[in-house]
Amino acid sequence: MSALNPILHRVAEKFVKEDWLDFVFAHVDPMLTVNRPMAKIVSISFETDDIKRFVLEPNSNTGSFKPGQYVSLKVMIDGVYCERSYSLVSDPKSGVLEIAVKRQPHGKLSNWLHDKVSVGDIIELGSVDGDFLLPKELPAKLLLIAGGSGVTPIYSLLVEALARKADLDVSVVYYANSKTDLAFGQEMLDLAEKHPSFKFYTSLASDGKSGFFSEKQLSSVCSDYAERVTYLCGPQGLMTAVNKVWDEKGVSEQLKQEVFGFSAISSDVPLNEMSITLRRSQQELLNTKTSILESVEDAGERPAFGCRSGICKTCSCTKVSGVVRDLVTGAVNSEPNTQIRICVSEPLSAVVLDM
Amino acid sequence: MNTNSTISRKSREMSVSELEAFGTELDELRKSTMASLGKKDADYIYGVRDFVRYSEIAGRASLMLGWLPPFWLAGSAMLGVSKIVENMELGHNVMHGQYDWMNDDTMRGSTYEWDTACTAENWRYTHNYIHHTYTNIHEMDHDMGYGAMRLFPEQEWSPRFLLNPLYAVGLVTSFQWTLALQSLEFEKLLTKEKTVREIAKEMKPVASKMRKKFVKDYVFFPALAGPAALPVITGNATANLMRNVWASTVIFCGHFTEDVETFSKDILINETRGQWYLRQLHGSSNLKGGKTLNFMTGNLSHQIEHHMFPDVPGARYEEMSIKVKEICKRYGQHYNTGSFGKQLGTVVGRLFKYSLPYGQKAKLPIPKNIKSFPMIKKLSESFEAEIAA
Repeated sequence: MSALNPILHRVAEKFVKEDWLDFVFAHVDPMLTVNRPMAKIVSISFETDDIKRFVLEPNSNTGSFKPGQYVSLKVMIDGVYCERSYSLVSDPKSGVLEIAVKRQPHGKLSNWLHDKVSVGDIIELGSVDGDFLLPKELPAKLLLIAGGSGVTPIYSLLVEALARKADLDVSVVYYANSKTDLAFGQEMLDLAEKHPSFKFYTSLASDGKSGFFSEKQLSSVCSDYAERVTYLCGPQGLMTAVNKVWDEKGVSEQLKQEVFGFSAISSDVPLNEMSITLRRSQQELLNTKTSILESVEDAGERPAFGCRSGICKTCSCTKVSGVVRDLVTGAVNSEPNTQIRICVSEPLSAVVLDM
Repeated sequence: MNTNSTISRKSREMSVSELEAFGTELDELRKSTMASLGKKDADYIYGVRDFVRYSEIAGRASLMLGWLPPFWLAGSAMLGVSKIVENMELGHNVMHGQYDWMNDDTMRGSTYEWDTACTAENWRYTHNYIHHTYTNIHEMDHDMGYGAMRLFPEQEWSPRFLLNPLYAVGLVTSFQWTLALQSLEFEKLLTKEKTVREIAKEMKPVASKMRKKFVKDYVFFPALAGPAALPVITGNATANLMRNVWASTVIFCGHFTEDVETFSKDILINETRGQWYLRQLHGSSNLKGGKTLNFMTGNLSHQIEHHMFPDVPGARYEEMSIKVKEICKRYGQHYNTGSFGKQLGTVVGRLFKYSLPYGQKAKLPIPKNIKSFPMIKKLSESFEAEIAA
């Protein structure tokens, strides 16, 4: 198939709709697609009570990845394509993609993956992306901080760091609820045994106050943290607390972090009462929420969306007129007829959208 | 609400508060329908797409054996039906963004490209924006006659409209091509609002899509058929004709029937939500029929609901129409519906009636040179007699 690909791509571009070709190929094998990355589930296992590991075998349309990056999964649930990103925990050279998914209380995709998926199923993937990467040249001292299921990219970075330099001075501080919630705990213990330069600390909420992050708690296990290049991934509370400490020490530029979800975007922006007009569906509504997307949904509309955090551009639409501010970059856009991502835009004037 | 006095009024005037409540009720209906969209609707539209694909494959395959009359007939018919469903139930509805909520790239209103000569880009402008925003407003909604025909008394008569019925036949048979050219507004050449150069520039993307569709049906597939090239060409032409005539007839019945009302520009001033709904209601007409008619018209048999809720999936219009009818009845508003035959009859009536200067306030002098044609002379004489009477 891959030998045919250049020809296929030209055909799909010029003469035939890509989804028409995919439709024909699907009668042979649903893994055969022109451009869409697809993957077959080859194994599923429990990592902890609420975290499952999935090994996926991708087709040739999936790009390669680096440790620390994530892949997004596109799944149709109740007639709606839902897209979520998960950090990859497999070896990039292994040819498979492995993810670890924690069941979220109201998580659409995580519950679907936990309850509905079985070995042999085929799922569509989105892009492989992310800039939570180790630098080309490893720092002398490294600190990795993980919280809960945020351990997944941290684990990948650790494996890569030790593979590149077996005697690297690296510490992992891992915050979790209890001992049974320590995903990848055994793997990291094994690595600590093999690499004496790697120090592994766990900190459990079940142990009481001493199990939570504080400057004091961190310095008790890693006193030279301010001298280390640090990677951080975890729940919002932990991220905020760590950032505060690094800020106070004036070493923020040594901190690299992976942010999941929308909550990282400051939501304390003043609420506007700007009007939003949807030209195609003839609706006019008020900006009652943080983002245009949320306001539009609040008014009963169902616009296309993807990541809801300004990554995938699925929700991008033409802004016919008006001024908006990008909630991520802070950039103000007053150009007419430009594409904006409504999930991370707030109106600064009355806005007309082509949707 | 100011409508035109020349139209029969089958609806009563509503007070400002009634209009507001009317709009709110329709808004609520829309909201509850949108909230109920789910797997059933997604499965349905994927089913429609599969139907379009399988029927196209079967139709084109059958035409390859087109020297045998049953295969030619079946092939042309299947391909015709496939094109109709692709354009109407799939393309038109998807391009309205009715399935945007699914988050499926291949079903997105802003990127879907349909299987007809008209570019999706131009269609989204002339149809989704202009026609659906300024429905039945004179000098704004280009679909009121497509710049070629005169259908309403408020449209200024000129001698060229004497050939109204002939234009209609031309438009109906060549609908995919005329639709493709609609956005260019050739008639503005006559009024000198546009220059040939401007039109030539806008023509480029249009010509490219037209060429593509022409090559597909009249070069590529005939060549593929080899010895069966001729029946493939005639079969494809028949299928295209079926689609052109059917689609345009259905569309004409949606806005040109007897009871349809038209509006002047000033209606847009401070138009409220309720007034907007009312304009959509009075500017559209439905076709009574069963599930097959709904499917084959892309649910434009519910043109009223389509105009009130252009981005709600068409397959939901039938169930919504029950509530819409009930609301209209309560507010004393005429709900324009009838059988295909009846509605079409009134459209044809309009085409003939307004080819003459009916409704023209001042008597227009008919140029002498045109009067020299015997048929036109006769028509104008009968018109003058009518005026005198």
